[in-house]
Amino acid sequence: MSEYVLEVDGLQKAFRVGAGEVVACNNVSFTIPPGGSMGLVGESGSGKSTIARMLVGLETPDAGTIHVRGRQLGLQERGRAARLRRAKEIQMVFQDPYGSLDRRLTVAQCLDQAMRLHGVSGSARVAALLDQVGLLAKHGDSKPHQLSGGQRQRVAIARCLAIEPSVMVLDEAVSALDVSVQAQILALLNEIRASSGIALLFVSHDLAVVSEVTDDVLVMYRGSILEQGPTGRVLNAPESSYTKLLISSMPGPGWDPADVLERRAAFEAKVGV
Amino acid sequence: MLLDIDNLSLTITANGLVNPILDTVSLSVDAGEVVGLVGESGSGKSTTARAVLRLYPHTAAVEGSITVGGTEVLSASRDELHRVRSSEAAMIHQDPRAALNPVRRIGDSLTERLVHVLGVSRSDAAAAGLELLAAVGIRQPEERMRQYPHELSGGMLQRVVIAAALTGQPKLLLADEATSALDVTTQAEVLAILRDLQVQRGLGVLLITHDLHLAAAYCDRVYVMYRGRIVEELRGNDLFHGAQHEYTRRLLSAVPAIGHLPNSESRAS
Amino acid sequence: MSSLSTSTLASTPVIGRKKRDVAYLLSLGFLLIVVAAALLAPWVAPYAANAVDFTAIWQAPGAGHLLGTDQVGQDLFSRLIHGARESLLGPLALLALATLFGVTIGTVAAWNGGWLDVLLARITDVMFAFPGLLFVVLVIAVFGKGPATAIVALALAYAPVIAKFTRSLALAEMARPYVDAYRVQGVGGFLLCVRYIIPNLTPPLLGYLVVLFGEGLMSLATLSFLGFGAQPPSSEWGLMVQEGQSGIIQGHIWPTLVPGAAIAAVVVAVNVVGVRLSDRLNSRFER
Repeated sequence: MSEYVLEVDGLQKAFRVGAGEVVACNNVSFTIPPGGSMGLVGESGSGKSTIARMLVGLETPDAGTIHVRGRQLGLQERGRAARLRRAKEIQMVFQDPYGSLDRRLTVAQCLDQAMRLHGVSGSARVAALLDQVGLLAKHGDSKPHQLSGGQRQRVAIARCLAIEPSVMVLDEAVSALDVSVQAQILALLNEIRASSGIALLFVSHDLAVVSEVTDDVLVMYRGSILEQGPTGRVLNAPESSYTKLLISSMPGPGWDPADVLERRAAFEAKVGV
Repeated sequence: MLLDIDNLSLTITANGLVNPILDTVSLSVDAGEVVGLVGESGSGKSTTARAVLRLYPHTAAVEGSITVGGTEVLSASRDELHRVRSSEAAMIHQDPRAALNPVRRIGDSLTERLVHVLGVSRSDAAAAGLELLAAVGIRQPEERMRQYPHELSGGMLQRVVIAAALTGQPKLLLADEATSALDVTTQAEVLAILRDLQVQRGLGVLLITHDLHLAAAYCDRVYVMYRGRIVEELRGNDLFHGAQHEYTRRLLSAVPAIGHLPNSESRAS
Repeated sequence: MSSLSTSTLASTPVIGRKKRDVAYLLSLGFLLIVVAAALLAPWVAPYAANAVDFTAIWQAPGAGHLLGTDQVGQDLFSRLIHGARESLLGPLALLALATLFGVTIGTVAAWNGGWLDVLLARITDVMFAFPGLLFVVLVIAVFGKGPATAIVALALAYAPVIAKFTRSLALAEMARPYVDAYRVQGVGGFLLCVRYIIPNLTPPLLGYLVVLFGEGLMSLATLSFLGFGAQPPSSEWGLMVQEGQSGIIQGHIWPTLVPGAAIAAVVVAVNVVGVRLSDRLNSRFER
């Protein structure tokens, strides 16, 4: 057994765009310890979502390896058994609470189907899952359109938990929610991590959100990791000039959009974009 | 006052249920002023903004008064309403892709309002379109006019939408979460342009946002909405420290923050 | 909240909706009567389908013969009712067959993309460019005339149309994040398409199929009229029109008019119901 739940090594991915190529992920390596929580931050186009999608098998890496609990995942799963094995290791919560649930199924059906796919069943388990994510038993009979954004995201989390994965990837999972709902979901995630030991990979463009739920953080820019370390250290005393730029670009006291643009131009001149 | 909303109440009756959406909302925006409207989804922010252009369901019961540049919107005639919508106030939404027709060139989207609504000739409209794109800081406007929405980035598109909103030379801009979907840098780009335009043209801006930090940093005054009511009005600078209402405080406490930000240091550098 | 206001705004004005309600209910009622008549034909029809009566030829509608008689004195009303079965079951079979092919091909093309998708696009292009009826006549020329061949031939002509429609629906559906969510759970492509994606396409597809039903009815009637479909002594409506034709020149319009009007009325009613049905299903399934 490895000392890490998730080990990503030398992950590489490029997309063809027209005649050229865009490197979405350039030699990315990181590890998450059991029960750990890693943040992955960057702007749109930084490659953070591509990494999330490669981890759950929605994209195929060009190169690199992914190990969960010391066992290597295939770059691309073939066959039912391999697919299910991967699903059992890593699950994902998507950004869009409105689109990531099948509108035809009730919450209970949704959870039940996820479990049955992996060979477990029982309405008692559905009730326990609902309770675990802070939903009431009556929500089991609701269809997605009858729920609020926060409730839907709780369902999406319950759907992950139903499969009992080792790692949960959250791709901008709270970005579409109001701040108070956001705070509740973040608290729920912290609780789940503490009680189940599931490791979290928290992908977000929002540094403040990441600072609330992660131990460590990776800062990505154009497919590469520019800085990594304990979240508190990286966000409070950033070393990379890009991290500094990101932090100072966030609206806050004394924030001025014109300054942000000036600093951005200076940064881009320096890295030679 | 450029925009004056006085005791606006709006109720919708659906399936026999009476739903109060807005309850005695009063707010104002002066020329050259950026006013924030913050609150959570469902609080009535967007409904308030839409009501300014009299965009609400025909089943809604509305009371109170909304004046834009002296015109009473709620009782305006068809022609007056048309004038308010075409050349007094303009709205910018969160998703620029939804605001632009995907199969039409940027130039066509930009000029059609001038040609069809304001009766400008095609060549004048094209010239005006180029000028507007330049005004929102778009380089190579001629090239952009020929492109389709999918060829432009989100930030670029939002600028196009702002340019389109400016075609009728409105005095009031209603920005409904206009930068919420953008990265911090792109958001800054769009807001810097909006501020320039606002200063140059003396525009009044009603900025609807759920980002309290942004509202505090960017707006002169901020109204806090909760369940269809305005619960508090504050100066932007005072939002984080001067809030009196319990809801505002609760909202502020839910805002995630990065420990103690070294904001001042990095700004100084 | 914003979704509430937009949806209410987008709904049709009250008066327009009431008018449409009336049209919808009338059409639905009419279709139910037609279907009931077809099912109960032997009991409902006053005469047998081929009861010849040379003492009463070319009669105009009247007491003895509700809709008149044809050149050999067959009761048009009875023939219409007896022929309803074949006239309605034909397009149904045709659609079932075309849907089976079309939905399968369209979904597979959307899911797999690549060469399969290109192939489908080419085939549909060819089918669109090539007059459908010509294609059908060609198939019939090879395999011989008769109702079964006509149905299969038309099904082959309709399948690409349905495939193309299904493909565009499926592509939009597959872009929804819940599809990714199923894949992440470990659901394979086949199961995902059959169990989750296709059921979610059903509402818009069903509305489209109802409209196609009307078209199919017309096409089959046309083939029968041309002599490629139903064969005498059937009283399929297209065939009835063809048989009645000879009387027109002598001023006997009823044998042509009656089945012709029946075809037109059913097609219109089916379209009205279809549009309404798809509106309803869509609004129930959206969001």
